[in-house]
Amino acid sequence: MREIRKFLLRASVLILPFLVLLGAPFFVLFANHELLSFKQITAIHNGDSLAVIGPAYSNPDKYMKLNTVLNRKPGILALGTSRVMKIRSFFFKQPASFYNAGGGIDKVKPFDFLLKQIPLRSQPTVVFVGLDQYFFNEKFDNLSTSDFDAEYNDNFSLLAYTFDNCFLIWHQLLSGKINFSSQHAGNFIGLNAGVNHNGFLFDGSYYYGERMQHPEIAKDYHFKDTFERIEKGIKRFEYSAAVNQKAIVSLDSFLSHCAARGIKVYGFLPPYANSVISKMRAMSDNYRYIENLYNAVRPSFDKYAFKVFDFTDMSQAGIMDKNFIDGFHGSDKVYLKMMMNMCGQDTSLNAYFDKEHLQTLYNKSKNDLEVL
Amino acid sequence: MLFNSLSFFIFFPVVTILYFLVAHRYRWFLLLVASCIFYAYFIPAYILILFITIVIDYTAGILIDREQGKKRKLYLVISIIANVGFLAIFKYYNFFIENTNRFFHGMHAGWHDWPYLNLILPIGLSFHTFQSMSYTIEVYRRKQQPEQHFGIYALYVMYYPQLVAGPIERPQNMLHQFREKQSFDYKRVTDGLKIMAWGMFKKVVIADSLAVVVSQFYHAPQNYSSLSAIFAIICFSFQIYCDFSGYSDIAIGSSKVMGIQLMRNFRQPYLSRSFSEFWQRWHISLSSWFRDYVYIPLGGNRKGTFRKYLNIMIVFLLSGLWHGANWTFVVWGGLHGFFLVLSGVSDKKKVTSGKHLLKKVSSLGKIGLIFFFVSIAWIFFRSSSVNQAWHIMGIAGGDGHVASSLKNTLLAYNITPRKMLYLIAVVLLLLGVDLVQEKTDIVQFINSKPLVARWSCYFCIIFITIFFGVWGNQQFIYFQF
Repeated sequence: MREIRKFLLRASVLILPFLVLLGAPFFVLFANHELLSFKQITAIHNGDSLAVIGPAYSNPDKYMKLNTVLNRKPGILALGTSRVMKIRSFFFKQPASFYNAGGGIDKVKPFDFLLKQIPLRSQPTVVFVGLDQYFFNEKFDNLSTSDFDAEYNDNFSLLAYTFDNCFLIWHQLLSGKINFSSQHAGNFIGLNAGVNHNGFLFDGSYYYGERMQHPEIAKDYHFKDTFERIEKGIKRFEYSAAVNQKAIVSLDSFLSHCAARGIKVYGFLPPYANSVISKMRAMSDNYRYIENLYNAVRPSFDKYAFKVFDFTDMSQAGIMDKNFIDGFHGSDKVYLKMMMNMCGQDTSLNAYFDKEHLQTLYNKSKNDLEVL
Repeated sequence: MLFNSLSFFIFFPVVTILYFLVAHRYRWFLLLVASCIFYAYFIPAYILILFITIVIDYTAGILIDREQGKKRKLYLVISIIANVGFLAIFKYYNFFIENTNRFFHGMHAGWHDWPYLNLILPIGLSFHTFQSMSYTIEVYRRKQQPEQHFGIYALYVMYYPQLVAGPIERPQNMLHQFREKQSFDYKRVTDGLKIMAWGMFKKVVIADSLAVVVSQFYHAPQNYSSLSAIFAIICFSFQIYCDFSGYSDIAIGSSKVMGIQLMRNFRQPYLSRSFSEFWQRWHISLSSWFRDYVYIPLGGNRKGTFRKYLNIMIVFLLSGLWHGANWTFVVWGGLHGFFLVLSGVSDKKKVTSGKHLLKKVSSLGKIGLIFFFVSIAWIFFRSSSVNQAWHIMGIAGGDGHVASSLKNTLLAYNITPRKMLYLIAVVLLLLGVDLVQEKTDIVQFINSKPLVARWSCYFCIIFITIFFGVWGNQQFIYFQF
């Protein structure tokens, strides 16, 4: 008995500092629904139409988007990165048939992978594809093979998220950014939703609460961060003169599979804020691939009788810097304008949109960023 | 259940506390139930396979002991066929079919493919099958009394610390321990926990950190330069060592806490000066299994030089096949057999004289040489096909685009210089501990240090393991076998 007591005492002395160190972050993560597996998060996303999904310490986007598509079987799908996330369900004639899988793709190759995961019987009839310009820059993506099965898996690990984020959470606790009390009032899942009101809505689109409420504290306020990236040629703004032909081949393969499966595709090159694209053009040698991109992707779209639109620069369409969330993410209003523009160029889109409805929405926009 | 998972961090203390709380006569039952839960965490249905082999071998053991003459042999053969049969169906059937189909396709175009089986390999099948076989063989050899208590025998096969990745134990070492009464011994318990902590460190801090580099490289080796390839090959040598020996340490440590001694499975293998020494230090429980049940029955080294070398090759080809149903493993085993035969021939010309310093330099050279050849063999072990292994050897040998600098290699794997220093530091720590272990047991070494040094060491190991380890439910490499 004496030996057990001695052991317990010493083990406590050894373990106690770690329990204290890990206990607070664990509590914060637990109380704010950060310790939910991707499967659980996806279930909430599909089950609760008011939930805002915004974990700060894990990234369930790929798993959640893929599995929501498989679960909801939307007729109209938006595919791409965060730069398609502002296509909203209320733009469409039948909002319930739309799902925005923006954030489920981060390069050109996963388009094909994601399509292959969708069974024929539950495939969409039409897909809006956001072709981020940097997908076609070899410096950003050299198209080496990737383990997509692993990337789209539920690789949540409670230990990993607690241990890996321990010091960051302590830092945020001590700096007052978060506190011990639960921040998930209402249907906010995760600290990014709870604290910043950022997160995915039921239709898969993204709500930038922090940007709406406190634009001055945003990292990219006045596009400071984007300009810095351009000056350094980093983080999606790498310099390149030529369009990566391997990426064009990969896009062509995706389009051919869509054509073979009878899925209609509308592609678009998403917009940059006016002053951002101006700055990039001023360094034309560094971003020559962007200037040539539309003409490089168009033949593939033409080959399969699909349409592609170039919204890289929307200054001519009456869009201004103030309509952007940040340097390369347009707001609801920008994307609404894009849809109106697309309908004007291609009447086949009238099957999905009501032009008058779009115009009314635009005219009655709540502010420079939000439509409703 | 993975040792590096939250489930195990709850499971282990609960089982251990219950183990010391319940009366001695019920402990076997507690451990058996715990082992079932541990195994059922993977694929619950496969516990049935274990149950069938346990029933067969338990019955065979009793019958072998009871009978005389040819009948004894018959029961042994039935038991071995049953065990090997499970292995053949689950592990080798599709490999056999694939090669048969490929062969006959080459012979005539109209060949209709034999069907494949859609089976998942039960976790640790090769390990517990070999452990079961060692029981019936030892009973047959009259070196072990048959176990009459079904529960104790089942526990011998299913004992959770070593159920899925060894060490592959012998009945003489294990069965009697389940009957011995173990009380709480402070020193034994803490020593066991220290071994576990070091094993966990090796797995999550070293192996899983290196795995990031290795996985990237082996996923698309064509994208990397020679220097990057060599870096990944070296990383894998340390990854597999830390992954597997880490598992063994956790198994040995957790068992020691409960007072049950498992055999040592690794003895600083990368400090070997010859291939035969390497195999006395690497996966000791498997190499001794092959020695006792295959090499010696084949005649060992008693039937002349040619037979000795032939037996070595047979053992290593079988050992390769034991690891996996893929030609890569067969080539890996064959390479090691070849290295052993070759070193056996050259050993005869060995010169033993020389000065002390010269001996040390020569010894260091030998260690480097063995590491080099072992690492080459690991390329086959890790590659998805023999073709990929050749391709990688080509890249490493200079076929690939040549790296302009070390900086490019780091960039290729997205490693910062600080991360690189960290990887080097942990590998050096591993080698340092191995060097200490050459002279004395590391746990005793730490125990002999002053209190402050000891506790600083405990805090550091736990701190680094928690905050610098890779905690994403990474499987152990040897689980697939």
